[in-house]
Amino acid sequence: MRENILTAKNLTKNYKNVTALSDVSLELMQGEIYGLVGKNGAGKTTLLRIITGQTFATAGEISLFGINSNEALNKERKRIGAIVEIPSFYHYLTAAQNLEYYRIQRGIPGKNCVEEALSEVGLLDAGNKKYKNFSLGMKQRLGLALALMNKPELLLLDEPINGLDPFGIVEIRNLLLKLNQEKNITILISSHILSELSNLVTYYGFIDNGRMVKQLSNEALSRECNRYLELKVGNTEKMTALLETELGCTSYKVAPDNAIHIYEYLEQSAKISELAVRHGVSLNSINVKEVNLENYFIQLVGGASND
Amino acid sequence: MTSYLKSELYRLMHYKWTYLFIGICSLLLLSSNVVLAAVKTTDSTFRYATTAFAFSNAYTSMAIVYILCISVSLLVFGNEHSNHTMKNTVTYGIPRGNIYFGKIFVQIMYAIIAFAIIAGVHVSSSYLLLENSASNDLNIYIRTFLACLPFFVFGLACANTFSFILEGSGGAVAASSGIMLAFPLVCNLLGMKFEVFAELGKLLPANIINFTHYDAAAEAMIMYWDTSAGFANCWLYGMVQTIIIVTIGYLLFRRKEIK
Repeated sequence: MRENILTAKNLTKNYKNVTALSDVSLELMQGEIYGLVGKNGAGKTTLLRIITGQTFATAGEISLFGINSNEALNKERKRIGAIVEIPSFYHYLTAAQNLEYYRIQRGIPGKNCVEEALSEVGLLDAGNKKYKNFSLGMKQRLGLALALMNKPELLLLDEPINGLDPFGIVEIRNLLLKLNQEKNITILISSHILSELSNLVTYYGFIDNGRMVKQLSNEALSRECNRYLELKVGNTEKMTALLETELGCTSYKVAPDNAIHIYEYLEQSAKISELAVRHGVSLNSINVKEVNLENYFIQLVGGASND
Repeated sequence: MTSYLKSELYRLMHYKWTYLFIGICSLLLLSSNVVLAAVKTTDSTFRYATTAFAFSNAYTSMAIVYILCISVSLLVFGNEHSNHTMKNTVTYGIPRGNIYFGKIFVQIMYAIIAFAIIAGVHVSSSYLLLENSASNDLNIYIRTFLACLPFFVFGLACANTFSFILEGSGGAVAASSGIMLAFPLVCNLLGMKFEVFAELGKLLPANIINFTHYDAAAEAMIMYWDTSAGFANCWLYGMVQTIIIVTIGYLLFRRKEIK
């Protein structure tokens, strides 16, 4: 049976006049890669900051590895690795010294874990370089090295690919997949670059204006984002009956504005239009449509009004 | 707590200002002795190239050490807010109490080591370069340091508290200076009119440290801690005020949002 790694229940965070999070709940099971999707200021970082103890929820509770008492949570936090916002280190220390500082602080045994972590994120050659001379991409990698140093069971990553070049993005994505698949590390990753998440995550949570708008599995999202044939007709009832009786088509959905979304016959639109014409159903338009992740997200959070 | 202390010591050992601070302070005191000795070589009637003068100069200047506690505290605090490094520590489950009290502990430790080195350089260079007065001034120097030690701890705790609860080091310096220096001054001024402020002012570290004057009849410096009761009061007032400021700081830091 898979262990429950992280549960957030009805989390709310209020700042003076602003509600940063409102009644957000989520659950992460062992081995999942959970993608937290939301535009800037949606509440992703606030959620991660509550989980990591950097700030406190106004209401609601979290549990890590099944533990939810405040004192015990600190102990459980030793089992996680995290990057929240831009990774931060002491600018006058080198990469290796920074990791060594946190290794001592966190009581991680064995000095070689510093070298291993640097090597894992491709920074072994830059170990003796001072942090102040690092590029943003290198800082992200060092942040990831810190997160991996204690061989965590849960990784919390806030926009970890910001500042990485395309090669770096692929490299880090492959590393995260490897960690998930080989070491069964559970990952909660936030991003607004949706195309990157689509190659990685198994479960999505869409957050907007501090509210969890929707949570669904990768499979369910794929179904919702499928290509389909959009048919706009005069009489949807008659047309759906024809689809079922004449073509045996059952994979369709009636949408607003007299539209029918048909998930079959994508390459045979002529057959559908011929059916409508033959039975006197007025056909206004027929198009193949596709919802990509970005469009899905924009539709979900209200499109341009939220920009 | 031990791991946190070890990590802080590791960081300080790799920070150049840890050494530069001690080096610069030592050099300044050494140079004062060099100047005294140099003047003596050109003017044989010069009366101040003596260990008595060098030591009395030091023990009547403890207010400077008190002010330097703000610098020591900030140096050890390490710009945690502007570097955004404290979030890493909190994220990985280090209890906030360990962070808060650990910092004070390291600050006290560093301050004592720094003072010992700086005073060591000063005393040894005094004996090497200046005429030995064979007086009691070294004992007074040591007694003065021991009497003022709780006030220095209060200074460190005060700066540490404001470093934790305020975001910028500028704000921490201003608030610490306000409590450590401006508040006693205000109490003294208000004390001219209101007795309660006069009495309050008598308990404050800056006023006690500055309670130093020369008794011409006895030809000696008179200081607050000359008597056993005065010495004990230094510790009592210093420790009580330290506990108050540390407790307030911790209670505020416990719920503070770390960015």
